Amino acid sequence: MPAGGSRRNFLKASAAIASVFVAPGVMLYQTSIARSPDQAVDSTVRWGMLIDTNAMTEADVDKCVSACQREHGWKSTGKPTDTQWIRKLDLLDLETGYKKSLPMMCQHCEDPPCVAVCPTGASFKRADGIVLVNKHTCIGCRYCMLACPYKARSFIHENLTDQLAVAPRGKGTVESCTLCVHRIDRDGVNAVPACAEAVNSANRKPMVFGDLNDPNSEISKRLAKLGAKKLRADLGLNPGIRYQGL
Amino acid sequence: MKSIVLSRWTISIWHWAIISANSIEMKYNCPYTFTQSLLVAIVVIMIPPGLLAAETESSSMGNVVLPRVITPENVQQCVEPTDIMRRDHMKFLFQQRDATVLDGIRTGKYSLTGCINCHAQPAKDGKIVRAEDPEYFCTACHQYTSVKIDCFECHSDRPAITTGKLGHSLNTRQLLARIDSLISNGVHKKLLQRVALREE
Repeated sequence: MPAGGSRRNFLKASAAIASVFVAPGVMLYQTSIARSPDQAVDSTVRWGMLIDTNAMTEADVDKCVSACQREHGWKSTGKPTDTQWIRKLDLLDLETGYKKSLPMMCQHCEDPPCVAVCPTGASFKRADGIVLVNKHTCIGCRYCMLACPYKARSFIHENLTDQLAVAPRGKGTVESCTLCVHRIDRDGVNAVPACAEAVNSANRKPMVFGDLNDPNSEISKRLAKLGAKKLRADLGLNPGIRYQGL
Repeated sequence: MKSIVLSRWTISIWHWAIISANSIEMKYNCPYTFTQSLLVAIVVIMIPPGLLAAETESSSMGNVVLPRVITPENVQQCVEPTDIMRRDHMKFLFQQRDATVLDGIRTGKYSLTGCINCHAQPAKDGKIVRAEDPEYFCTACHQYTSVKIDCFECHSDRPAITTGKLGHSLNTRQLLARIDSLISNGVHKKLLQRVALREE
């Protein structure tokens, strides 16, 4: 038996070494079984995003906003009633004069107040944790906009034309960040939301998207290592978007 | 017994006649339906000649122009046979809509984007037909049947590629297929012609 055991250990070790040398950074297997695209989403995954604000410059945040605009076809006109799927939030420490900018969007709460107040059920949380508006049932009452502590939602006041196929939008409905749900449905665990795609590069990754339920996902590992802040954690909503360096 | 069998035969022949006549009507865009013409014929035969003038007048007043439905050129078959699509397309669309929005299932064959990609292609002369125009595929029949839909208040009424803003609605394979279909339609030749005209 000792001979067999040592052989097994040898095989294990050589497999581990081989996996390091074959393709560093590439997983040879997937820990969680990916959903088949014709199956309904389920709660085995919970999508979230980690934003390292220390690694992000003000220009990066602007890049996030313009990437979202391109992806979903919305514009800013400077009016207070503007569409805001994602916006730049400028923080200023009055005492020290320290400035910081961060991207602010729907925080995809585990217990979303926008869903609790919606009279028609149009504001809903998908099984995989993404908070969305079903615009087919939205009556435009805007209760959810009032209920959201992050001011993440906006209302469409004008008629629109030439919307994009991935982001149908229309007058009289409320909208917000969808965490690029069309990309997630297409690419699963390998999906990258448009904002993260705009700022991440080969050598730095300030925005990490992934499955919070999977302890082996990059986001979970980084959260386990460095921790992160949930905005307005006192409200107990458990948002899926986490911020480092605040 | 004999009479029942006979009447069944007559009914099935009658049905066959109506169905084939309907398909001819849809193909050649006849202004009268088969039943309309037949009823007129019966009435014309039955009534005394003195009343003929009055009869022809009323039938011309009941003249309703059937919608002109444009079928895409490069596609042979819709996702279901035409008669099923005519009757049930809204049920398919509603079902898939809920599956997509609520459950994230985007693989179904009854997507509105799919409808638009085939049925709302730009016209041969390059004219862009919008959802509110009576020539638009959906609008043509919905006007005829007095149905008001609001799909296009939110959804784009043109295929993604023609809006010039692709977003990321198409993956590379779909995009290449789309470009192939456009090339087989001779779009690139038209574009080259336009460039040549401009240069002249």
